Amino acid sequence: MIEDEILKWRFRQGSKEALCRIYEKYLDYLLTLAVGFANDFNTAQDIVHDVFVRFAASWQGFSQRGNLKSYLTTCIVNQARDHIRRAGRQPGELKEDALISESDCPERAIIGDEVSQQLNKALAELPYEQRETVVLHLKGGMKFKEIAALQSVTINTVQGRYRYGLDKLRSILNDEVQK
Amino acid sequence: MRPTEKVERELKKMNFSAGAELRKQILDDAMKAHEQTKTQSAFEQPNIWRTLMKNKLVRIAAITAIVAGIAFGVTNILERGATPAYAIEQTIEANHSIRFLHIKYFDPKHSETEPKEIWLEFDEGGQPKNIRVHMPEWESPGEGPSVVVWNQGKMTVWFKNKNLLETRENNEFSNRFLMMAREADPKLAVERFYELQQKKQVELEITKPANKAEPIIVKATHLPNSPYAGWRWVLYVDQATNLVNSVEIYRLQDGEFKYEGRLEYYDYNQPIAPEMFTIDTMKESKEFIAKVNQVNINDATVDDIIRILGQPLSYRKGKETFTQDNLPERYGMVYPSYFWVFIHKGKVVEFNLGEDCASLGHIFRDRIGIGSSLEEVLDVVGQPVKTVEGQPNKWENGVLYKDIDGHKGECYYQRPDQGVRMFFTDYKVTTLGLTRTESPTNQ
Repeated sequence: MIEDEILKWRFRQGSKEALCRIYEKYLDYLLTLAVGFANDFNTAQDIVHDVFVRFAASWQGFSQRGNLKSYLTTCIVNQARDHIRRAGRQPGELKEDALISESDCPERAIIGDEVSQQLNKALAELPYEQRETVVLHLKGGMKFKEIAALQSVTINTVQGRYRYGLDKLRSILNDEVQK
Repeated sequence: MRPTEKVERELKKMNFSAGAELRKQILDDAMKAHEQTKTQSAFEQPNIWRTLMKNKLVRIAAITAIVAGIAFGVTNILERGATPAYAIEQTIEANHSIRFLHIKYFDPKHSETEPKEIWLEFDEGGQPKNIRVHMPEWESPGEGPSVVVWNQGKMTVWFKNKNLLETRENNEFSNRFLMMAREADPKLAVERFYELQQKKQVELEITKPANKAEPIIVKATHLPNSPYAGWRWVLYVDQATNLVNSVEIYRLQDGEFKYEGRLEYYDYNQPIAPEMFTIDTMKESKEFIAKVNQVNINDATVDDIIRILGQPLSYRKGKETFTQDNLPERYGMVYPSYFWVFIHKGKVVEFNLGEDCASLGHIFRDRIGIGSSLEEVLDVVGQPVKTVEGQPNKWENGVLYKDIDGHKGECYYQRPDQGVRMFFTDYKVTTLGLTRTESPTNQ
């Protein structure tokens, strides 16, 4: 927490070191969120790329006083929605091979362990709002109240989305085990 | 059935990471975007000051100017208070003779007994020359505790749990690390207050106790127009040396300042041994082997293993991982360097070492380890009762299976009477099993 405040302060001064540190600290976390939202590695890469490039360029006017992690999370949420809107569809039916890698070269790929890939595949079957809620609450550590503000709905709606989403996930994963 | 709690737990652990090239590509693009928007800013002045400070002569001149500059602000504060004959420039001056420093950072969310520790050596210009950091497990739960050493741009990281040593000369990692160390540097903390005070963004409150044994307290509260608004740093300054002993950090929450962490500074200018700025994995390996040697494998139980070696990194059988409460009859306890302890019905049956254990040295009778040759093994363990060449491995005790299935160099030799079995590739030990000892009559 303290480190983030120092990073924000340095970043506002135009420090490249601070940008590097923020990038290293949050890249994988934001990538995991983006994969969870988009269920497609190429789209997730684009989302994270666009967020960091915009963030890097914003240092002079950067006046964010709240939590840096929450700020970047919100950027990913908005960017993911934009991508999905632009694509004009609900995000992906996930191709099996897309889960492993879009690239033959692991250096260029997004890497995830077997359980993460299995979870992500199950997440892809949820409606977008439920998926966003589940990922933000469990992976992003956001409170239902915060998600409600982000999604412009009531807390009850968020709690409902979370409960339905989780039940469905459990059922998908149990079916997988039985297969 | 998978309970909801398990799904929640697994989702919390879900993790994807970027491959090295992708990581670099995004960072490069972000850096370009950053560079394109970069213009000279008033905020950059402190950096110029820092550059000037690299030159010894300029540094003396600059300190004089700073002392003069800061005096006004500090004097204003002093005029309001009693008469504390201390001004922050004294600490700035004292700081600039620092060559060595040991720092501990305590995070209240984690154990007080597990601080992050930093050792710093500065060059004549006041720039970090060597750094060592002990990262506790809470800093990076996924990777476990680690030791990082930075020597003028080159960084070496030792992941204790995996016993893995990584060298990173990449500027990006190195810069990140250097920055973290700098943030803990009291010189820069004081310098920041100076900058902010000049901009009237911080309010300093100085209390100097009459008792010389008690520290001077500098309370720096960031004002609403400060980029640090809502934060307060409390510096404890030694009256005799004017050096900072510790810094407490507070954040304004619900109308009151709540404690967020503490930096403690030790051993100002106590020379740090050069070995501190290198990583000696051998020492750790020897300590681990010494612990292994305390175990009597012939009657050791799981509890003995945990008592002596500590908790394993994981419980596994093949690729399957288990928790402590759902263990099968046979499983392995995995320790750093993939040192396995095989368990059957709660009893230890074998210590199993693969090629990752090469760093553990000659673990069997101080003469055989991973990489030992077949000749060395025969010399220590003795000749086999029979040698079978070019045939399949039938796992018979006391028999040396050489060039198994016609594969030159692949061998197997098991001596339960001596509590050892080995697999060879190219006639060199690649897997070593330390087993329970059986009498030769049982063979």
